[in-house]
Amino acid sequence: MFQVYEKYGIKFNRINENDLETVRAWRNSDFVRSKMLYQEYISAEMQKKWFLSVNNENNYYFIVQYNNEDVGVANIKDIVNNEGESGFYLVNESYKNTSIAPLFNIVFGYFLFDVLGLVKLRIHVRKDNPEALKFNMFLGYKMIEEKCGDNFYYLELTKADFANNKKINKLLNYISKNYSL
Amino acid sequence: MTQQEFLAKFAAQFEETDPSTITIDTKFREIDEWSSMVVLVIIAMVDEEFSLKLTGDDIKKSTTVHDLYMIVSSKK
Repeated sequence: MFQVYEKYGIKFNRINENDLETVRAWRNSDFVRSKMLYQEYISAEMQKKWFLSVNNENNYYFIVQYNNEDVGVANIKDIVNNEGESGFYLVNESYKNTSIAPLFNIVFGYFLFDVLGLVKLRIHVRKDNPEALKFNMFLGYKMIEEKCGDNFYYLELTKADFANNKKINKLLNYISKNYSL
Repeated sequence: MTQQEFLAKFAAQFEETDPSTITIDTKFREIDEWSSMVVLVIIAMVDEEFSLKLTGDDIKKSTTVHDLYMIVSSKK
């Protein structure tokens, strides 16, 4: 199991027990919680229980670092038959509308498909978060209408769609030339 | 790099937006297609087309295409 993955200056550190309270504080912040399908307050006990349920080879939750700063949390969960549910959030509103989320999500997509060997990702996006919808569709996610709910969109991204996405390939090429590692 | 050259390159980064609808005074965050992903697209475009380094913060503190042009011009 990967504990650390680093590429193009982006470092993904797998969450461990020592990170739980830091991650819980981010996750409970209004900025993050308002974007989530599950919006209830998460207690320390709930967090520990959650960690025990995801600390295995079918789930990867990473703290994302850029320039030695914690900038986000990225995850792939419920991996079955090389398919899983992806997600991410920025840990601080100051990173919103910067290049940080695009940068680490493109690198994370590369990691999921080319390093972990997944073939399909799925994602749920709240219907009141059009920015996230546009962001994920840029990555190549396609909406699956019949799986959408009252308050969320359901989207899927295949390895082929990601690999053949010219816009992403152009950006990945740019990142590989201009960011370290 | 003239203002018109910058505007044309900027507008060309959008696939679903008619370039003629984007002017130097356009508030770029109001373009339907705009998302934070486009921030990286614009950074890459400025680097590759004009060999200048625009940052995410430069874009964050800008409102219009003209604001961006002025920042890029100041880096020459």
